[in-house]
Amino acid sequence: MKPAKGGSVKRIGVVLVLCLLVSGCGEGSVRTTSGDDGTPTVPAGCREVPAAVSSEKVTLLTDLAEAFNATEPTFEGQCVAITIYRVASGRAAKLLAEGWPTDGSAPPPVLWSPASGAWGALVNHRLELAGTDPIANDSQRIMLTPLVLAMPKPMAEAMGWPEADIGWSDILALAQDPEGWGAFGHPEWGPFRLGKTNPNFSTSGLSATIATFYAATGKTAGLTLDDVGSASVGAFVRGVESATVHYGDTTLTFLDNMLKEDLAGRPLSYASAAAVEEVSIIAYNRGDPADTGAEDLTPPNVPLVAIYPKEGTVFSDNPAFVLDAPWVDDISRRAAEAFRSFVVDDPEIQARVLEFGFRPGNPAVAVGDPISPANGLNPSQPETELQVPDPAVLAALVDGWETYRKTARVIMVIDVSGSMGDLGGEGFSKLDLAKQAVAASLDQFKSEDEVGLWVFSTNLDGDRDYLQLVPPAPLQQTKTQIRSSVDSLIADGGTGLYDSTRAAVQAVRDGFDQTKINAVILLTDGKCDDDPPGCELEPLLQFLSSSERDVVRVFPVAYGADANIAELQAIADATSARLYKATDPLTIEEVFEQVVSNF
Amino acid sequence: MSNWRSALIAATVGGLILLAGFLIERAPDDGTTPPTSPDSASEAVLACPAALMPACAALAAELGTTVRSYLAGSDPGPGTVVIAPAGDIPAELETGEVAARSPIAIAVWQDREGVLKTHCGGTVDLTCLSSAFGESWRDLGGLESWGDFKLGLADAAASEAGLAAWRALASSGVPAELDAALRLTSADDAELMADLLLFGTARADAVVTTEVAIAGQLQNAPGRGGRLVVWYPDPAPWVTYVVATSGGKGTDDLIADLLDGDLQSKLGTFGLRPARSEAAGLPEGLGVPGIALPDLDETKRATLLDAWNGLR
Repeated sequence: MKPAKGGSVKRIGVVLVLCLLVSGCGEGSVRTTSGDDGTPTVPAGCREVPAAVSSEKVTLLTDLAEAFNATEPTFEGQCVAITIYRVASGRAAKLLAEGWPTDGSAPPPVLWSPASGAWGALVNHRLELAGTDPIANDSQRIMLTPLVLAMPKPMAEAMGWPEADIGWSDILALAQDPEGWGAFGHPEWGPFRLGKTNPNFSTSGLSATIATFYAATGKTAGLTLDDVGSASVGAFVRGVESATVHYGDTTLTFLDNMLKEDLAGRPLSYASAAAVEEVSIIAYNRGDPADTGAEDLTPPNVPLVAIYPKEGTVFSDNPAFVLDAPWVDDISRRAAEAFRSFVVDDPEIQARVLEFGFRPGNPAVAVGDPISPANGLNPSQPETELQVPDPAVLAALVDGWETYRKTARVIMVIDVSGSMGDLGGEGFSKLDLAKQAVAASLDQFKSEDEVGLWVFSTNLDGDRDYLQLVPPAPLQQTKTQIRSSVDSLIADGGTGLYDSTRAAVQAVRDGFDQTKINAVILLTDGKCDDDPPGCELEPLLQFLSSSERDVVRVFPVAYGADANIAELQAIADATSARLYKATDPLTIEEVFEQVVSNF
Repeated sequence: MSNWRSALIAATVGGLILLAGFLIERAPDDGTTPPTSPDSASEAVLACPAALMPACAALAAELGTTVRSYLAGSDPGPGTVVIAPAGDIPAELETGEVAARSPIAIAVWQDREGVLKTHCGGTVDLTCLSSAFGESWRDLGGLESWGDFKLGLADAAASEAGLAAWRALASSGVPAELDAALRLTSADDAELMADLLLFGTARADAVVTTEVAIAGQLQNAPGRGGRLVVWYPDPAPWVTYVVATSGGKGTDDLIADLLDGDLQSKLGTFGLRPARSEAAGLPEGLGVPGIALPDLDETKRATLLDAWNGLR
């Protein structure tokens, strides 16, 4: 069996919860595309000074690094070049706390800019628990963006926006109202649905979770362990979480799906609100949720507006840490400090930060357009900032979220066709690697989650291409059975993809539970080869999208190089879910962890 | 004041700020490495705490030297003249005359000030602030969306400026409910003001700090600081900034130049009060400060610090 990687999510105890907090991965580390081959370019003879930055500011900082490098900075006669690497905040925190790998992806950073300073505090806390000196000490804020509730404008207006003060308590009331949006005169909008990311993986998710706990207490600072453990607080948080559509590792999933639904003429059907950073609303309303900067975009028919929760909110303060790490020498440190100074101190540079939709980190630059009412934003808000709890409380809070979050009802459908027996890497077959990933992912669920296991190839059960190995039931009952079933899987046969998908979704629909996230995880390495006419995609898509209220989300995992990305993307889109790609089979454990972050 | 004179003063101040920015940007901030200054007329360099940086950079430009930041309690090395509160200067340095002063003041956001004035009968002083601790803005007469009253203070244990602000607030004991109201704390007065402007009303409704720190941000960030109103407690602690040096070439001359009357007369444009005369040309928004309280003795200092540490 392949040795377990260090990325498994644990759930027990403060220390392990901290591990969990900093083990969030989000996107993997990806080099920015400065050079033709997609790697940052460093002039010959110059020293590379790597910076690991969270995804939302990669484009901005890559531009600024190029401008800085163009000044040909030199320290003690050594020319230097700042290079920008995209590393999600949670993943960078994990790597800094556990030891940065030297496997050829992003090099150990000299400068680290996560989305929130809370990640730095968690890294230091964890290092201190391990008897190591803290490394995230020297920081300066590059820019700010507050967490907001992004809501389609008509829905916000129905709640009294922009005049009314709206907050988490109103979200709770709406989520628990049996009339749903009918309470605001719009029964046609159905129940209130919230998009909220997983706080183990996403800064927005972490900030939103902090905000809901504070809202439950009525406090704006000094959240305590007693608060987190209080029954009334738990009831409030559970109530808000009950409205969640699904979780996930990135807010982009929600924004992408909202835009797709909007452009398909169903702007209010997927989510009623999503907890995102303010900057994301600007990009969404431009028709560019991923903030690619692309032109010729189609803006949404219904724009999003920002609700700044009346109970207060948390800022993503985007600190730039020059790390006190063993690999940082004096020249690299000075170069990183100079780059940071270049970014923060010059008002002209900071004006560019504003152009990207962030609030400048230099107070000399006033907050203005595009943070404006024209984009559904209010530069005078938020009125109250929530204090980030200390690390021990933060850990307890995330632990509490695990208890209160919406329960899942999921069938994992695993491709065991013959091609899964092909080599995946490091001497293991694709199926071996997938089995390892599935087994590891079970630790991410909570015991109340109902999890089942199906496999498919062709003719596994008479004419049926699929076989139910473990019916969905609370994981505390099925975990052992799923593990042993996964262990015994063998690869054989074809890829009966569509009828298996249809059957799994129907099985979840048959037991649909409104109080749970109802979903199918579909892992496949090939393309459909059902018996004719089984591989007609359109009928499957119509089936998947035929139920607007009782939507079963299908999260496909395109596994290996031969998976049919287009058809799997269509399946994900049909249920407003998300496609995950593990083109390199060796990444399947990490990718599967991201998939399960939706629950 | 006539329009052309206003414009001239504005242009002069603006130019000095730009020059200050230029010089500060190029000054290393590690407090150890002297900057190079090929055109220097003075062989010594200047070191100042962050709140004095705009003024110090302009003074340094005038004197043909450069400036770098000074961290409280550090040794600036030879050939450096420090301007800082006496309490922030280590004993091994030779401390000289007072070079400048700054009273403790209250900066409050304009909309909050209006509500506080009504709540407190027309005056926003320390008693007024104390009465707001632990209260919600709704109860004070403001908007519910403003949440609870939030105060900012610099760390009293980290700098004289922070201690002076704390002294002003705690002159008759730690105010009730202060722990509930104290939301913004920073290492020093300059950082406190920068954070206030950066996060706005979300982080604090008012701060108690040095007038010079407020003035620095009013000038540096007019777009954000324009919504701040300054009030002066009376009487109030004043922070006095002395010159100090560990010696070295040119330091005596630089000290003499800094204390020269002409140069002193320019301090007011940066919100800094001269050592022995009235300030002239103060930035718009500043006013008449309270009478200075006598210097702290060691017993009172220790008592204040104990109270601060107990609060935190």
